[in-house]
Amino acid sequence: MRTQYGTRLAEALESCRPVPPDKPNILKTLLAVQAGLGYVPTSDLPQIAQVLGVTDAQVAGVLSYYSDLRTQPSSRHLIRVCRGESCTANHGLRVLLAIQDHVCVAVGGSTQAERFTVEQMSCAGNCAVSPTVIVDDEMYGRVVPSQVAALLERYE
Amino acid sequence: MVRLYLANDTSSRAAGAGRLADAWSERPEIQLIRTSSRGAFFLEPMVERDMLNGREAWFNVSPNDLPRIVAGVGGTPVAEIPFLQQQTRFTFANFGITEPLAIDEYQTGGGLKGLAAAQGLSPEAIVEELRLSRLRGRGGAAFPVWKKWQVAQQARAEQKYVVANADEGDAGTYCDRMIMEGDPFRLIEGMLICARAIGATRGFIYCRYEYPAAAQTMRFAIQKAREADLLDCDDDPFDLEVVVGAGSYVCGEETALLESLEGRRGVVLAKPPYPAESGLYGKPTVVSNVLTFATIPNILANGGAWHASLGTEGSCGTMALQLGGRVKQPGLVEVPFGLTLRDVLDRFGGGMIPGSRFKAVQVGGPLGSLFPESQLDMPICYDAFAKAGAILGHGGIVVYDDQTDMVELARHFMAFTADESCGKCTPCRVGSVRGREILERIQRGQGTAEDLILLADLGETMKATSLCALGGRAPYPVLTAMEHFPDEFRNKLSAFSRQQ
Amino acid sequence: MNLTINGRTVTAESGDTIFLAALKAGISIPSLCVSHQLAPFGSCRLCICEIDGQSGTPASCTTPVRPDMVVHTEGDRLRRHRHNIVELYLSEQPEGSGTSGPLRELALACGVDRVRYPAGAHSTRASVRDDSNPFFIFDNAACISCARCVRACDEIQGTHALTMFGRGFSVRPTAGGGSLISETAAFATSNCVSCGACVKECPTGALMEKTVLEQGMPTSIVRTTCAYCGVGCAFDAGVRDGRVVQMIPADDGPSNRGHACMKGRFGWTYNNAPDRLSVPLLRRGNDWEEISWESALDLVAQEFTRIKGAFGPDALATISSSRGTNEENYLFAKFMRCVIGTNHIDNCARVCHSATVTGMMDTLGASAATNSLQDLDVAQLIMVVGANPTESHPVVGSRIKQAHRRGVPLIVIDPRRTELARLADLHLQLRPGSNVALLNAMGHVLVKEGLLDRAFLAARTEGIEDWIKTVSDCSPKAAEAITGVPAHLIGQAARLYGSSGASYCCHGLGVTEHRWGSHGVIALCNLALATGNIGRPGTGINPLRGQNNVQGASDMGCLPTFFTGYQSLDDPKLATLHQTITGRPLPTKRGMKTPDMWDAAIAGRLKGLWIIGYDVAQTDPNLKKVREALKQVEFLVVQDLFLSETAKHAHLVLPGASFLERDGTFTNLERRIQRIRKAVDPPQGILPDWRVVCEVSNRMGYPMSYRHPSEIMDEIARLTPMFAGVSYDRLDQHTGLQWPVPTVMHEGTTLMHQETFPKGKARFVAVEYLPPGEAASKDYPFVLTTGRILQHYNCGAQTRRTDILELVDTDVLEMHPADMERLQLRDDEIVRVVSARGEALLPVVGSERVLLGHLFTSFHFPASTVNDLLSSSADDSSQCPEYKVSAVRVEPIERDELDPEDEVELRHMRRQLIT
Ligand SMILES: Nc1nc2c(c(=O)[nH]1)N[C@H]1C(S)=C(S)[C@@H](COP(=O)(O)OP(=O)(O)OC[C@H]3O[C@@H](n4cnc5c(=O)[nH]c(N)nc54)[C@H](O)[C@@H]3O)O[C@H]1N2
Ligand SMILES: Nc1nc2c(c(=O)[nH]1)N[C@H]1C(S)=C(S)[C@@H](COP(=O)(O)OP(=O)(O)OC[C@H]3O[C@@H](n4cnc5c(=O)[nH]c(N)nc54)[C@H](O)[C@@H]3O)O[C@H]1N2
Ligand SMILES: Cc1cc2nc3c(=O)[nH]c(=O)nc-3n(C[C@H](O)[C@H](O)[C@H](O)COP(=O)(O)O)c2cc1C
Ligand code: SF4
Ligand code: SF4
Ligand code: SF4
Ligand code: SF4
Ligand code: SF4
Ligand code: FES
Ligand code: FES
Ligand SMILES: [Mo]
Repeated sequence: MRTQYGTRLAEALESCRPVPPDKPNILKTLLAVQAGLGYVPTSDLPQIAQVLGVTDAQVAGVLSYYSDLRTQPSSRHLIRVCRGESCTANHGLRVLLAIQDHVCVAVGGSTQAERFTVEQMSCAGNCAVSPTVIVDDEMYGRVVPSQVAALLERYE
Repeated sequence: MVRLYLANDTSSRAAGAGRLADAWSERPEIQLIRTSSRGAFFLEPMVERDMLNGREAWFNVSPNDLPRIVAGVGGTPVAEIPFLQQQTRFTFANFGITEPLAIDEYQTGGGLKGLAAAQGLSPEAIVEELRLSRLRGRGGAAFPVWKKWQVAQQARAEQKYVVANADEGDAGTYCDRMIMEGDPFRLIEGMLICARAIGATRGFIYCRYEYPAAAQTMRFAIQKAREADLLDCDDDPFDLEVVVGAGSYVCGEETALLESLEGRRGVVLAKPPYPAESGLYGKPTVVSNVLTFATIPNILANGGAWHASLGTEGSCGTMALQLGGRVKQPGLVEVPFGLTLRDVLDRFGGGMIPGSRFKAVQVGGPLGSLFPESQLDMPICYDAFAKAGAILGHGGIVVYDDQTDMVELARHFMAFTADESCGKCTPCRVGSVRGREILERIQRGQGTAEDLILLADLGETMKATSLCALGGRAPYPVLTAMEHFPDEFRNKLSAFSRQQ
Repeated sequence: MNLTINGRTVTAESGDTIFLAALKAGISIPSLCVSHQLAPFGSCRLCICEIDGQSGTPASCTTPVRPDMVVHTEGDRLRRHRHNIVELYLSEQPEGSGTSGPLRELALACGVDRVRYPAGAHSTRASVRDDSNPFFIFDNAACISCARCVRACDEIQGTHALTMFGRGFSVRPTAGGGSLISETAAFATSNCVSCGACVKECPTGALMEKTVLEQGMPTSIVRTTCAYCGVGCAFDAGVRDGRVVQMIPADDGPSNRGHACMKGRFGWTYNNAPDRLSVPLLRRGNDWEEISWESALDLVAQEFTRIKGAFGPDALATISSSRGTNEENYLFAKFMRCVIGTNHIDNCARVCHSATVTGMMDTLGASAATNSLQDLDVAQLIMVVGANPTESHPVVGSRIKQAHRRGVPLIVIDPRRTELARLADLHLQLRPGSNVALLNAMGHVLVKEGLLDRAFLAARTEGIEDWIKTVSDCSPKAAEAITGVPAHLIGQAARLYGSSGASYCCHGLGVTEHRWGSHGVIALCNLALATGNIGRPGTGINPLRGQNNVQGASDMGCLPTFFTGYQSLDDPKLATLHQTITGRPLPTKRGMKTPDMWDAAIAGRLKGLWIIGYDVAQTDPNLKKVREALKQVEFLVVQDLFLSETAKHAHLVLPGASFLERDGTFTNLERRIQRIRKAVDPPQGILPDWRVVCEVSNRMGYPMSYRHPSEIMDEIARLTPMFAGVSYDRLDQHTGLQWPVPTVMHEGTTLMHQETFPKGKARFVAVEYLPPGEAASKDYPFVLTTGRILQHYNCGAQTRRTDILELVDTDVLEMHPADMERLQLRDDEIVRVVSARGEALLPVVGSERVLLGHLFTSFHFPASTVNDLLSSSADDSSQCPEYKVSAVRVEPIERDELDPEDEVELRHMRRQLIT
């Protein structure tokens, strides 16, 4: 387990090792690590910094800035509910509440069996088909609260 | 075998196009072509097929509708869809027609003419053409494009950059996404023209994290363009790359965007220096919005004067308006500047969703002002909006109905700013949180009349002193809500305060 | 250009901001986040202004001036916004946390008498307090998230130890990975080098010196100069109740411009160390007897008179202190020459840059930095040879990093991957002791590729043919075999150096402390001459002189071979002048260099020795021999602040006054003579060193009656053409004076050799590569280099008596990780290092800073006995010891060889490598 993790981290870092004259790119690296591992483990921050030739502080600053970088692994399925204006106008809040009720978890939290993590997101660019819910990589539009149960059924 | 056209963009899929495609994937009687979307999203999933008199469309199709479509029954000629008929499509001319990644189709539809024209012009002449076109940036600030290009052109540097701002952070906007997913070569062509004009050999498309499909389509398109030998700038290879953000609204602001592009914290920098003088890695950089770049090929192909002839005095060309919220017909509307808000909502929006009544409309994303019914005769153009203290922004139009709680909406906007503030300057960093807290107090019934005064006072300071438009514009939706719906606020004050 | 601010016409330069233009005109605009040390930022928004014809209220600190603009910085609208902003600041201070002074003042000025946001009903700053740095604390309650600290660490210090963390309301500064890992110990776990730049920039006191927190704000300020390294940083010593409580680097300090390093900024508390010497100590067998100053001075006079009478003047010698003032050094030399009648005087430049002195004298005819530190602002290329400025001269290191961030290319020639080497565009990682081979090969490329400055060569130099002949044999390929540096890198370095337009070269002990150290210096000078990189701004040969006054000690004639200002001892004109002014003849016979003194002592020829502020028993090489010599001397006087290793051998120990307790001048590494000023009284009536010489001299029948060091300087000026224009009146200007200052009208010399060299033309001296004194062998397979680390200073007597010990409390042996693995050693394991001379016990750590087969350690802790390992091998012409190359082997040790106490101590070892 640990070794697989190690390999994936190493691969992610290797793909971002700066090639002169390009400068090290911290954000790109963190996104690559997240793509490989699902999150950016803070314990590996010094290693990331070292590979990039930057300081721990520089990495921590970037990691703490972007809301899409996560430092904890999320559950098997990530539900993101749009909180943009069009979705808001179309009562996206009710959908969010329905989802929270259904899976019994607050925004930012994970369900007990680590099945779902629920998050809000900024406008998904799907405003004309809002309100919008994204589960993992699948986007759903014109979602109404009554559909929530059936929709989540598909995710084990 | 019948050729059917089905849009493959994110919203069409969210509306069910994906499910259609899955359901029909094994059907031998049809060949399914995945195109871009026409932007009439209220009709999606929409299926089209070629008929004798051009294409016909079936609306809101479900899998069982296939026999009907194959039989050619019940379709509407696309040319007769009012929503589309009344539009003036230049930038979005290909939408719904072409396959996004087919270069030949792009070219058949008139693509690459602008680039060819630009290649016949000197860099100075390209800028001159843009000056004549009177094109203003579509990202929000509406700055004359030629001026920016000229500064970058005249700057001396061994390296210059072209950056497409594909952060499209304003909620309620999606035209940049549509361009990237639906007509990617148009963006590439616009960037190449810019590269030639300023002498850049490297370009980046900074795409928000929320748009994975757009980023992926752009990557494929770049690859195709490279294979077709399109990517060069005066014989130097033009190196174009898609870079993805990580969830920060401020990163749409150009200086923060460049910081983020360099991999740092996406914090706003004070200007000057402007990016055109000293941008990415300290080098001259043109940062323009995706829609801006996508408008440029037609300008070069048809001439600056052509573009200047469209629209109004101060706002030339067409604008891509994006309708959302409680309108009956949400979708993309490309029209020349100058129509009134009411026109757009009635003629294109088709009025309100049945059962809901109009309350307010917000133009220009989360930083845009709210307009009540009484202000709907406002013409859509930069000057009229500026005069009203409002912004057109990136052309997002969100309609709210009478179920909307204006206090909650105001709180929502302040909370948005508080969440997205980069934290660099005090009025926004602390002020947005204080603003949110005041509104929360009011919602809890603990607000006082003094709180409303304080909120207005705070709003004025945020407007006047914030470093960037996030803090500087955040008060607008809040203060316009208070201005137009004062009773909703007053009624929520503490009982004691209401009596006074 | 002119503009109008608040109705007044104000002159500004293009590029100025409105804020700066106003400041220059004496108009102050409320502000918190602006700093003239830092790039425009615009965080607090207090400095807003109104500009006629422009809507809005831009920040004046980020808005550049335009000709004829009309600006208003006061007015109702601005006042109201400022009020509201200060109110926002106050609203985020947690309840019960005392509002910081500056913020309170601002609130008063902006009329914020109450915060309209109801107390307790809103979010406040997280309570985060990090006191893990030994010298300062961070308290988030008082912070305003202006990022000045972060910007200081980035832009001034270049360490990037800080970041703003999070975003929005909660954004706050933190060190390292701090807030993700350990909020309250973020500093301790970061790469912070405690330079203090962040503390100085903090406008609110959220970052604050512990000394000030504990002892209170200073009540008076005295301008003085740091007494550690040769950078000569100007400081304002803050004094309260007769004690120094704060040292703040001065913004108008010419060499430091407001910056400093850990040692000068925080490492001065040894001044109050409990074991500071306060009374003279007389040896009684193995014990010390405290005696009065009277009897101590009598004793010195008596013994010196006795020895001189019995054995002649040449049985006496003095080693003067490069830590002392110019005036003291001059007086010690005068004492030896006029009272004793010998030239047996030396100073610790001997073990340091003596090879620079001979090498530069031979080629350029003057032995000091040719250019100034300000030249780093205009250099087009910087080449650092055998120096580690980010640790040894940290302020210079920072300035080099600043230049490099601006895009100036950097070449580092060093066997170790130092911090600058890591950042450099080119790092030539040569084998220790192979400088000449490498530099000659660079010369080879310059000749071959026609990169010589022919016009300069013809007009200003002689002897180029010899040099061309010599370097023609030194192809980069041949050099690659000797140095281990790939030939193509040597070529690249030569091309960069030869074609930049202005190449600034600085060097350190990696050039001088070698068997052929002078040759290394000569080879560098040859390169500079060949490319015309001398006599122009941004160029030159710039030795990074080590101690605060090592330049001055030599300038003052504390050398066995030169009088003041490097005047020849046998100059008849000088002889006359000397006789006239001092009333005594100038001895002409060359004296003994320090190593000669050890030989003479062991041979019984040297009977009396006076050592001032120099811990030879710890810092000279081949310590067994040095100790032996010290034991042989009949009468050894040692004058120091502490009972140093050397003092432990003395017959009489005299306490010294520290730099905070006396007046005088130091000369820094750019020849800049600067004042030190008495800030506090020395303990228990200690006499400053200059008074001690006077007293002894008086007692020996040669009266010295100076009332103040300024009178000594006047005498120096009369005796020395180079200093003729120097006087305390003139030194009171904050820039000091850079020698030569030939007349009272002369402004001093920032740039030497502009038109001619002292001897007319400069001379090429052809030197060939010769191997170091020792090479790795079967028995001693490693090459050991010794040098310094940032945190401690030389013998460590001072830094070990400060809280720096909390950061680093041991010398460590750095070994390449692959060697560690081969020898199966673990980090922090204690090993025995053995040379042909002796052995030392050191903890070993894996370090990518050293090459395979190469070891590095510092020499700051007597307990590690590093210098027992070293030989007496030294540079031929200067006697500069070969500290940089010793053949050693490394052995694991048995557990029982350590006593349990040692073991416990070593287990808790603290160290920090600067990479
Ligand atoms: N913190 C701190 N600062 C100090 C001092 C201190 O003790 N501590 N001491 C002061 C004094 S007295 C002095 S003289 C200065 C000295 O300052 P520096 O000259 O920087 O002294 P070192 O660290 O001894 O050596 C410098 C570099 O020479 C390199 N070197 C070793 N051998 C060779 C070689 O053959 N060729 C080349 N090119 N490089 C080589 C070493 O790897 C090392 O990085 O520092 C002064 N400043
Ligand atoms: N292994 C190894 N050894 C080295 C070197 C190396 O690179 N490697 N470098 C050598 C070099 S370059 C140098 S310069 C020497 C330096 O070696 P030293 O000169 O021995 O060391 P310092 O610590 O500079 O100061 C010596 C003494 O001066 C005292 N002192 C400080 N200020 C005053 C004062 O104001 N008055 C008086 N009276 N005394 C004062 C201090 O307490 C201290 O005991 O070390 C050398 N030794
Ligand atoms: C808070 C903030 C967010 C912004 N977001 C975007 C964005 O998402 N997309 C965009 O094109 N411009 C955005 N901008 C405007 C950019 O700063 C910049 O003006 C624009 O990219 C320039 O392109 P244009 O000239 O084509 O409009 C934003 C500005 C601010 C202050
Ligand atoms: S404000 Fe009115 S008149 Fe002016 S450009 Fe806009 S539509 Fe035309
Ligand atoms: S207004 Fe907000 S987002 Fe813009 S710079 Fe200030 S804190 Fe950052
Ligand atoms: S003390 Fe110096 S190195 Fe440490 S954080 Fe502050 S500025 Fe950076
Ligand atoms: S610690 Fe001081 S300098 Fe740093 S952000 Fe806080 S107030 Fe500013
Ligand atoms: S750089 Fe040198 S002079 Fe400056 S503070 Fe540090 S030790 Fe003192
Ligand atoms: S507002 Fe939710 S998708 Fe745009
Ligand atoms: S001083 Fe100008 S914004 Fe703070
Ligand atoms: Mo030294």
